Amino acid sequence: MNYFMTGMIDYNLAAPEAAAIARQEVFTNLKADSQLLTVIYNRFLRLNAFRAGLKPEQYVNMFDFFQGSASYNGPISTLADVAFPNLVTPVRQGNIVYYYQGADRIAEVHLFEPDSDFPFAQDQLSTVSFYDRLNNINRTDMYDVRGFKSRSDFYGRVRGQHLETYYNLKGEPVLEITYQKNAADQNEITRLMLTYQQTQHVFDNLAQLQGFFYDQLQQADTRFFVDRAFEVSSGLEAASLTAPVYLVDHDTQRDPASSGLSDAIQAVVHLAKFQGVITATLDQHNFWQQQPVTTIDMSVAANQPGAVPAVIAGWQNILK
Amino acid sequence: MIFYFLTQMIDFNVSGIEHAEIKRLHLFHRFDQAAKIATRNYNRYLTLNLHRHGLHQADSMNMFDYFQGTLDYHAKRATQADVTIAGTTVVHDNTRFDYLKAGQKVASVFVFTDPKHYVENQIEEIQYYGATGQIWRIDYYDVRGFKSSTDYRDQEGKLSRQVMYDLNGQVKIESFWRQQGDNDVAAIYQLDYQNKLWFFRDLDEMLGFFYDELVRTSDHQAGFIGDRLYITDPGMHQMQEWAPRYGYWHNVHTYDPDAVWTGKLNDVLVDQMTHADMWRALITPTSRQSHDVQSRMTGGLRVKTIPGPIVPDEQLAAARVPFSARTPYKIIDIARIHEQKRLDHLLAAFIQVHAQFPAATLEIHGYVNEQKIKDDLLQQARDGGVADAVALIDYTPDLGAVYDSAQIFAMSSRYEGFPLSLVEAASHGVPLISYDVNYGPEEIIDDGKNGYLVEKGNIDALAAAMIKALSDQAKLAEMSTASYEIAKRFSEPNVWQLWHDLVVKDAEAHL
Repeated sequence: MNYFMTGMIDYNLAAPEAAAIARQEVFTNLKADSQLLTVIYNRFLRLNAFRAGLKPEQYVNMFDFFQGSASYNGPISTLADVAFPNLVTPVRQGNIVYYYQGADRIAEVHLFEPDSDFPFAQDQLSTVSFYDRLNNINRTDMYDVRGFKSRSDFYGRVRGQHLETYYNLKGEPVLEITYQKNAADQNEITRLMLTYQQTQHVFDNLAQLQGFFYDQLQQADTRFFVDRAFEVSSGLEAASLTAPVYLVDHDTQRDPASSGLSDAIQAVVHLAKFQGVITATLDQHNFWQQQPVTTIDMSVAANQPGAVPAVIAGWQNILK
Repeated sequence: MIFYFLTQMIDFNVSGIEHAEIKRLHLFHRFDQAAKIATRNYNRYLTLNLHRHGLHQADSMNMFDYFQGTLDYHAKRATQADVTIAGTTVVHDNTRFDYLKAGQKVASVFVFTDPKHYVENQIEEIQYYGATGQIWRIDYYDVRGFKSSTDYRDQEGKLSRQVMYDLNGQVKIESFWRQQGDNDVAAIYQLDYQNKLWFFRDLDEMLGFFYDELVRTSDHQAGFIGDRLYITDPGMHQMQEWAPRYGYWHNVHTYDPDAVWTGKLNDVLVDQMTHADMWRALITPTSRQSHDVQSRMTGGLRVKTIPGPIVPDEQLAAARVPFSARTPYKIIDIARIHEQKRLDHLLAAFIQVHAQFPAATLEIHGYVNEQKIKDDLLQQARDGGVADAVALIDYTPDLGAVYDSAQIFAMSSRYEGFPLSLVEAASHGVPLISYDVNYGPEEIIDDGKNGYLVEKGNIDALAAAMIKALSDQAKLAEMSTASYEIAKRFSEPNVWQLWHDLVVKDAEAHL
């Protein structure tokens, strides 16, 4: 499997992801399996992928992977599933529904709005927030656009969220991320606890979790292609890599101020399994020629006749 | 019909109220009347405590166990060996296993150590640490061997969220803790029950729902006897379902125990009068208190009398201890170390006794409510030159041998309801000397026959009574015999007759 590594497939595609999607077509024609690999949690991922014309098998997300929810096709949670028997009749304002106990707001349900012809159910749950009698928000349950409860955020006594919990499809917590104050009195992640294959794993930060994720993906035929280095590089550093890693230059990854390499790029090109940087333009080619880095040129003149066959030939060469 | 005796908790060391409930439970069962003790508080040690007090799981109905679906568990007990955290090494001593990853502690498993109650390395709790070393989560295990609850701490290390699980590890109860004034409070409880989410703004609301569920789901019609009323009444007043309700007053009903006719009424009693239509009756342990409470009552609430103390048939049938077999000049009291018990009076009186009888000893059995009082008592004993003759002994579950060795049971309380220990002592043939306080001593002490009633607060009179008793060992032996006889008033058949006539029949008639 060839993984095109990025942070997220956004609602509106950015250039690196658009390029990765186009590359999938090339790989398909070359009979090589590929997936976009994303590492940021996003309960809208299926909607965004739908807008981009992607099928579920064309991408893999780290959170979906650990939550076991990559191929969910179950029931869709709607307002009709909300059962708060000892709260008063809900008050609905548009796509928000409030629940009270006496004068106290206890729950607030937000519903998805129709979007991009995505198959939302009527009154499909988006978030459910819970409050206490002192009017503090305690918890927000977040629903994936596919219709299941995916994550809860919990709020501490002061200054926001202190815990995120991610669920599997049975509603069991599989990943907890906790925040504590650092020496500078700021909240930061201090522990991630993952239950995976009946074993607990603890990590200090997201990079370690990403590294563990990459380790789980690695097979004999795995290749990693880095499309957004700043999203995935720290995880690659934390991984026990056995698979080759390529950097796909999208210009923006370089540090324009210094015309040098960003920290993330530096991290990737110094990986032991780093194979080379893939360039597609003359500028890129010229830039990388000045770096002590192996360059794999797909086409140094993409706008010239014959560029596309050259690119295909270039990828074919890598896949050999 | 089934009766639920309502209280807060069965603690490791029970106080008089729960002790009375346990005795009543045995009494009801002996006469084939279904009953359970229903407790409010979460307590993962409950099974241990029940066992310690001779109770079985089936005798108990705890609110959290009920909603967690953990009333009955007899499966594998989780041990430290079940805890695997990838990539860690484990270092340990007898009670604690630390899990280290790259030299950093990520979790600590604490284990129970008493082999009488637990399997080897059975988990008591697991603490999880963040990268900064702060605890962010603690898993608590029930003594029966399953993970029962988790506390989550927020960014400042304070308890923020508490969850309780069912036996499948699913969250059934969730509470969120916040600061209100100077107090930490659970600002909401969420209960996942019968596939619906219920919200309770405080524990009292949830307690009312629990009591309603007992009415709805019990195999028999349910009746309630509240014992720790300041805990259980708010729940009873929240109930939606009808069930016969009785409130048992174990203590004085006014804040000033010496002003039972004119003093400010306890707020709990005021609330009961406000909700008079919900109650079938109030019960007090003594006729004197029933009379006093009834005289203050408005709203038509009736007051009945049923003693709390019950002397088991086995005790009445047991061989009597010859007076000569008792330890000469041994005086005992069974009392918590608490201001109410006014033990400084007893000790001051004992110092006078000891001056007359250097062989005299004083043993006080009871747990410590206030350490300062204990320290003061020990200092008082040293100052009085009786330190070697006085022993403050912690809570003693089985007091039989203590009673059987004593020549006098002395009590100096400021007030009581009707202390069980007085009747227990009498049933073991111990002569009784007590201040004549509200309420109880006059019910079991026939002055001059099985002991002496002394003017309340009069230390010299208390000392004089003890000296008088110890001075005439033959008379004291007669008092011992009289105590055995008087204790029969509180035999199981006698007390059951009252419960049956005044409560069981009444409840059955008003379902």
